[in-house]
Amino acid sequence: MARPVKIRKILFPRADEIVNLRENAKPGKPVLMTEDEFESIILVDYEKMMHLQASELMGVSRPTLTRIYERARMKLAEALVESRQIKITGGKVETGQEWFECISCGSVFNLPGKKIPDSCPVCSAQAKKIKLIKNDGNRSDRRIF
Amino acid sequence: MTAIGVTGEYFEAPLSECFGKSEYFFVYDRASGKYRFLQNPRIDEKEKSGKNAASFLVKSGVTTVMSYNVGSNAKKVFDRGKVQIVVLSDNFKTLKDVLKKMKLNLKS
Repeated sequence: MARPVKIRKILFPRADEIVNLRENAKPGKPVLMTEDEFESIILVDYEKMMHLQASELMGVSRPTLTRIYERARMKLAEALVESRQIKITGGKVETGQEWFECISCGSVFNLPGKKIPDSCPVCSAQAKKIKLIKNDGNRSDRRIF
Repeated sequence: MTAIGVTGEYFEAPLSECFGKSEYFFVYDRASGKYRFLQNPRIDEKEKSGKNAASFLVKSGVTTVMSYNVGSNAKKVFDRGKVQIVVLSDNFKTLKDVLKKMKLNLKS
C-alpha cells in the first residue's frame, strides 16, 4: 500500500472561493486548485518565504512543498492562458484551530478562548446561522492530486 | 475593540487586501461607542509590516480584527494575544458596507 498523503496545515479555510484572473474568464469549467496549493502560492510568492520556511509552516517536507507549489503554478498558468476561472476546493488540509462561517454574511471567524459561538461578530446573526467549518483533514469528497 | 484594515481615512474607503499592509486601521470601541482612525506606523517597511502592525494593535487593546486576509506572521501575534480574526467575504467592498452590517450609525 502506498504511503498516505500527509495532512497539510493552512492558516485559513478557503473552500469554494472562485478567483477570476482575467476579466473575460469563462465561467464554464474552472481550474480546480486545492487549498494547500493556494496556501503555497501565498507563502512563497506573496509573503516571499523560502521553500524550507514555507514547508515547516505547512508541516510537510521541503521537496513536497516544492511539488505542491509547482502544481499550483501550472494551474495558475492554465487559468491565465486559457482564460478560465480558478476554484479553490478540496485537498488534505487542516487549520489547527476551529473556524466558523456565518451563513447570512459570509464571514469566516475563529474564537480564541471560547468553544461555541454566541453570534456573528459582523452581522450579529444568531448561533443557528453559524456553522463549523469541517476540520477533519480531508475536506473534499474527490481527490484532486 | 474592533479593528478593520482600510486604505483611507474616510468611511467610503475600500478595505485593504492584506491586514498588515493597510494604510489605516479603523478602531471602534463597542462599549463606549467611540471610533478613530489609526495610521499604520510601519507601513513603509518592506518586511515584517504585518507583524509590527499586529503587535501595535494588540498593545492598543484590540480584541477583534477584520480583513480579507491576514499574513502568517501577523496571525501568530494575534493568536498569542488571543485576538479574534474575522475573514470578511468579498461581498464587503468598503468600510461603510461592514459598518452597515454591524448596524453602526457613525457620523464622520
